[in-house]
Amino acid sequence: MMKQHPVYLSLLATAGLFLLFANVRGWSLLHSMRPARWFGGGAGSSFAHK
Amino acid sequence: MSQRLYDCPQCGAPVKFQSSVAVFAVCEHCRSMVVDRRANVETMGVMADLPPDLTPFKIGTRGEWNGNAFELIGRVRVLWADGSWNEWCALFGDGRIGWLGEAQGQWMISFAAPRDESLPANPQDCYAGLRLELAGHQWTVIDRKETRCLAGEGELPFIATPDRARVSIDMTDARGAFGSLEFYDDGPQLFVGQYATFGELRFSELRPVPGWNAGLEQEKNKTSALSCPNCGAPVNLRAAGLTMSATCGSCGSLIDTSNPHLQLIEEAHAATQQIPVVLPIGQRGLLRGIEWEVIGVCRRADQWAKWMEYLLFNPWHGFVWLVTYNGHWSYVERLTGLGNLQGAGISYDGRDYHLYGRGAARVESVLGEFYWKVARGESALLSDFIAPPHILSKEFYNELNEFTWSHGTYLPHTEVATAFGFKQLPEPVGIYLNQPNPFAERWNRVKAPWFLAIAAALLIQLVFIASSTERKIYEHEFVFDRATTSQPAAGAGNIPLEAATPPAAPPNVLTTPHFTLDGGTSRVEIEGDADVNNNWLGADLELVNVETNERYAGDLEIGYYHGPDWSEGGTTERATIPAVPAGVYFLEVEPSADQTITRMPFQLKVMRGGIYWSNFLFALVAISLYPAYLLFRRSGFERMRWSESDYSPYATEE
Repeated sequence: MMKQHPVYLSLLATAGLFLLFANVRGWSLLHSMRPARWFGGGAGSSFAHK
Repeated sequence: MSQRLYDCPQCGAPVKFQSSVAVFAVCEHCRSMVVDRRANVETMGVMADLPPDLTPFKIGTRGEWNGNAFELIGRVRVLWADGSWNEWCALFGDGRIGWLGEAQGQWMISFAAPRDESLPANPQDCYAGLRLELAGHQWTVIDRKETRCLAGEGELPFIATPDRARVSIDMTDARGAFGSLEFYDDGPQLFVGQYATFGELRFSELRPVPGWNAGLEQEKNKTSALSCPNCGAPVNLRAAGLTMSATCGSCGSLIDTSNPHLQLIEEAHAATQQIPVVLPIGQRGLLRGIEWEVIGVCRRADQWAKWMEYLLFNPWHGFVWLVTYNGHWSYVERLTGLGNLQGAGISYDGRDYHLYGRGAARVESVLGEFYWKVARGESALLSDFIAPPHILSKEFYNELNEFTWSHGTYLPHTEVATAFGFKQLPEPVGIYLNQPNPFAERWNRVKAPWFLAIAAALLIQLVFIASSTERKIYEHEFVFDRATTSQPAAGAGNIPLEAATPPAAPPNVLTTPHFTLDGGTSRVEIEGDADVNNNWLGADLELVNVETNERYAGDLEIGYYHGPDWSEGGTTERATIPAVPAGVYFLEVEPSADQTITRMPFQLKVMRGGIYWSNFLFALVAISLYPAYLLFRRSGFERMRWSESDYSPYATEE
């Protein structure tokens, strides 16, 4: 059945391995992608307009 | 009365009556009609010659029906206004007489039902679509024909003199049963049976079919060549005896071929010569394991479109159609057992079909031969119901008082090309009404793995939630002082600290004593608590590994704003630092605050363990993107398919 979708099957396997890896290591894809890290934003910036 | 053997009163040749109920036989030698009057045998003249046909049966052919063996002992060729068919008399092993109907490439086995007072007395009361309850069946009348005996052979349980007339009512029920109500001079007789496929009847001792059995190629044209009544050119019938009309290959005239005396239906028509034929007449191809020959082409049209229908023939499998439009192909077989169903949706063979279109379709032009007396301009009310790749079509012929059903399945054009030996056929254009939705097919293939993957991801997440609980490592209270940022208050920690002292930090940075993060690599969360009120307090945080000096940064923002009827934020917030290895650490805290705050105490708690839900959500999105794309495209394909229909489920009400 999935012979016709090897790429999708690979994606499912990758997603499963990613979840295992992230949970074992306490790693977070979201926090590794935070724009604040890329652009040097700091604490309090989101409330500065108040 | 058992098997009897007489001498033919006409020629003296032996005439055998195998069946105890047979009263009539045709002498094989002189074709005299011999009648067994019990006391004596007599002849009633000479039986007309049977017209040549491509039937695969002969007297002596054996078969099996529902485990009962039978042998064909006689045949009547029955003629009606628009054609003829064979009725074979079958003698079963248990002595019963049954009938094998062979009409238009279909086979029906039936038996006489006991005479019943409830049978309709007048055949004129039986019209197509009428529902009748007879012999335990709910019948729907298909058609009504006035018939007569054209010729016969072998032995029969009645006297089948030529021109013996009757009215024949054909019926089906919803379970595929076949019924025939025959009105003779002495009253009606009901026959009940089933449609059957050639394979189901397990025939043996068959007649070799010229042109189809090896070694009989030469005989084919010799037995079925007739002359066109218009131009005199030879007309070679490819399914002689089974087809009722044909076009002359020379002048294009349409000819009635239902009996050997060909009659002109219509003289040459210019449109005949203009049919853009893709599969030429006589072309043979192996389709779905069966060798078919193209014997007829018919171009039909409704008010929106024109399409081509190719009639294919095989002596042992009857007729099927290949219908093509805009490069799309469907393989169509005639159906039995569907009554005069109405409505926008019907169920058949476990599938739900939806009405796609309904309208009058007419025959524009024809080539080759057909199993009915086709006529240019012939019109039928056509209803198409779809369950792609399947299609059910109902055709109602008002003039004939008859309706027919057919079932089609979509055929890739490449399969047709391969079957008939073409390198390629024109690519399909647009979306056809029963074209399979490629995105639905892909979705059907991926949905099970997709569901399984979601379940597996959820299981992984739940296992980690249960095994990785969060625990407090360190807690301390600091004070933000705009003038002099202070060090931690002495003795405020409630968890023992490492003895070593952190290295010196810049004056505005607060540092904690050392503490240990144990276990493997895991996340750290730092919870901050401050008494903010319409202002904010924040801190840049860095966990510093004492041994490696590696730094792990986090941001903490505590802000609480509110008004009379709204609020935002809170006095407790968390900063998270993912994937921190085990080791001895201290925390550097660089606080900052709203201009309205000059001094404010705040508390920090260092937490270890726990997992992120965001990873699960990322995994969920990653594995769901392709299925979501397929569902989106599937819907778009269906909307396109139904955009041509008056019965679209996607139509918006205006």
